[in-house]
Amino acid sequence: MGYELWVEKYRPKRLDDMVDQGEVVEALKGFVKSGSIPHLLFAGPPGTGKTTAALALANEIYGQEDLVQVNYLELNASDERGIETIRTKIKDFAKTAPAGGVPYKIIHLDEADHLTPQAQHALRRIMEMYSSTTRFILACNYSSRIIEPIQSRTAAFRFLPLPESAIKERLRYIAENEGVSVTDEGLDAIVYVSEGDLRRAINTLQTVAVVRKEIDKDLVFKMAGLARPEKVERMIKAAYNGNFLEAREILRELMLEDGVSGEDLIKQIYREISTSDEFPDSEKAKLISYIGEVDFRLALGLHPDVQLGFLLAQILELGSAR
Amino acid sequence: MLWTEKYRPKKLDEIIGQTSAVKEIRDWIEEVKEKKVKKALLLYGPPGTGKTSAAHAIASELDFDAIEVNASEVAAGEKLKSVISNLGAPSLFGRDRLIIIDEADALSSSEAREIARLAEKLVSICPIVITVNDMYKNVPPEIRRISKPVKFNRLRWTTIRSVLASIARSEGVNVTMEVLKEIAVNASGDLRAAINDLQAICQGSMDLISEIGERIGQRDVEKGIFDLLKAVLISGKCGYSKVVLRSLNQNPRFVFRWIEENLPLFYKDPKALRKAYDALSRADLFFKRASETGKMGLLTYSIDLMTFGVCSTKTEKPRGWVKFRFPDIIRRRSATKEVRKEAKEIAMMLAKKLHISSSQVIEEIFPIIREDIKREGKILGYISHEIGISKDRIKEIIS
Repeated sequence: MGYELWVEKYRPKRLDDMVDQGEVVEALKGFVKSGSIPHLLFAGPPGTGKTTAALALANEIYGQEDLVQVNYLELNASDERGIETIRTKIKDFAKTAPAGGVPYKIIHLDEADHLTPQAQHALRRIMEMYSSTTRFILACNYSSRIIEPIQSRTAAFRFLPLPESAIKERLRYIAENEGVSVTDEGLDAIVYVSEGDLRRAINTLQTVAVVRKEIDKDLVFKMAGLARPEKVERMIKAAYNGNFLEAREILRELMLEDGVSGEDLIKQIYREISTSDEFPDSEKAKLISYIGEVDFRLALGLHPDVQLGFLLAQILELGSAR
Repeated sequence: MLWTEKYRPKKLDEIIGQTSAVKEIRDWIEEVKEKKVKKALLLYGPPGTGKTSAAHAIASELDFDAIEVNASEVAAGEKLKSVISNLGAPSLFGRDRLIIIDEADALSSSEAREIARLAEKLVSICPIVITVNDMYKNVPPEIRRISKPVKFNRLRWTTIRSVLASIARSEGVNVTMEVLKEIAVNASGDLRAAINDLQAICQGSMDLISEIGERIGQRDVEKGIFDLLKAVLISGKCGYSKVVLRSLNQNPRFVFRWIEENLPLFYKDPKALRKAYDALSRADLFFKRASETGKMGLLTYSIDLMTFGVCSTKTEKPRGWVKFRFPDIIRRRSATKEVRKEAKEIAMMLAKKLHISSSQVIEEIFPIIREDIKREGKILGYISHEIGISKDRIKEIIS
């Protein structure tokens, strides 16, 4: 995919170009030099370079674009329908020998922690079956969600969250290249809404830049898929001050019109409440346990807006007891 | 008589809103007439879009006897096998026959395989029409292999409304366009459900009619949603509210939405409201457990929690008169269901090219495209070229 979307345009092609993952990069370069790699496990938060590292590794090992094309397969566990389709795709890919005289093919399975433990056991067998001709790179957010037998068969690399300064530097570089100006507060806002996720930050930057070439904080909050913190704050206040219907209406606006997911919203509510000085500590402690409970139920239920409605009702009750 | 039967289309031309499907069906009918047919006809699409009607219309246009087997009946597999194996014998009046296998998604996979095997041999002598809801779920590849698929689309609400309006005219009932719209939108593309709702309303069971201050037909045929809301939110007879819901014959998740919408209008005591929401929240957990494990018995707990559970937290009897509200969320969402499905498909294609997951595409890349479309930038054309879907279609889906 070419150069209209900045995530792809500015994706580093070589390991050396990667932002701030020095130790991982050094180790991977060692593999390239020695010409042999083990199965790899990349663990770390979103947007810290796992996919980029896998692609860059393939680029450096195979050297040519056309060899990468035929010898590198990328699968996303959350988009495939279960382990059976993954098995079939891997089988089809791995049954032919690596092309162009390279020693092995590479299969990059993203979001591997989305697989159930049973599926991971099946995956382990698949890895063993094809290990003479293929190497697996598994990527995940949490290595603890990967079963032990896979962990023990892979070399694990931890991708650390990128420091804000590194994200900002990269964003400034892109903005300059694209003829876009961003205020310092605008940059802060992009980093805030993208939660240290560089990919998301670049996408946010481009979304905003499509609208206007001069970017400031207000524009970022207006455009970002995430809600403006002010709106979340208004919702919490409405509930706390006894106006439940208004709070619920803001909730629905956030979810249906602004397209914020339940998971993102609860994270923001948490952030808003834990950093607010509107509540006495004793109430804050209660609120945090309410939020935790609802966060948990969000994952177990089907109607996120109703779960969050329950949270608003708890905030309402707390506010009314003052 | 059920209006869905009374107004069922008898000819292909009477099937509404499925122009391209009808055209494909006509091509197939030609093949049958010329004795060149090689495949069974597989009609797939959501409920209430005209598949079964089309199957019967085909029989009547061919002037064949229709032999219908509904796969969700008990021992449908056995029945089908005996029908198929008896085809060698001449029919009673010497007419040709058309086999209709309705709701074939209900066949077990072994039954389906066996039937596919028998059908493959027979399709040249005796044409077969199969209907299913979802082409990819529960339809074994063996069946897909022997058939020519024809897609039936969800109907637009405007189409549904015009059908409802003409039925209302024939029945001589007076229903306002707003009510017809409400029913049509709420049906999410299912014409049969819409006609059933219209009949229910006109015969007094859903009480929506009271909004326009009119009453037609007898009132107590069936307890309606408004009765349920009264039982849950206003009365103190909580055991009764459970019974009302069970007799309502409505999807529990639909009723759940009604209760959640109206709850805060009636419960003014914060403590009672919090407890009631807790009950709804727990009801929600059982919805997911039921759908994940396939144990539909778990829905019992959802139903009890959203009726009895909500009802029993009341601390005071609500005062004054409040009008029940139609669930806002359903109204906002039903219009966009089909579009969201197609958006997911586009996202899947882009995900492959961008090395990310489809949900990340929806969250992060779609906003870029959306803004680009508004400003007629270069990105849309690029994307269209990359995934081979026309610019206009992408615009329609993503905006």
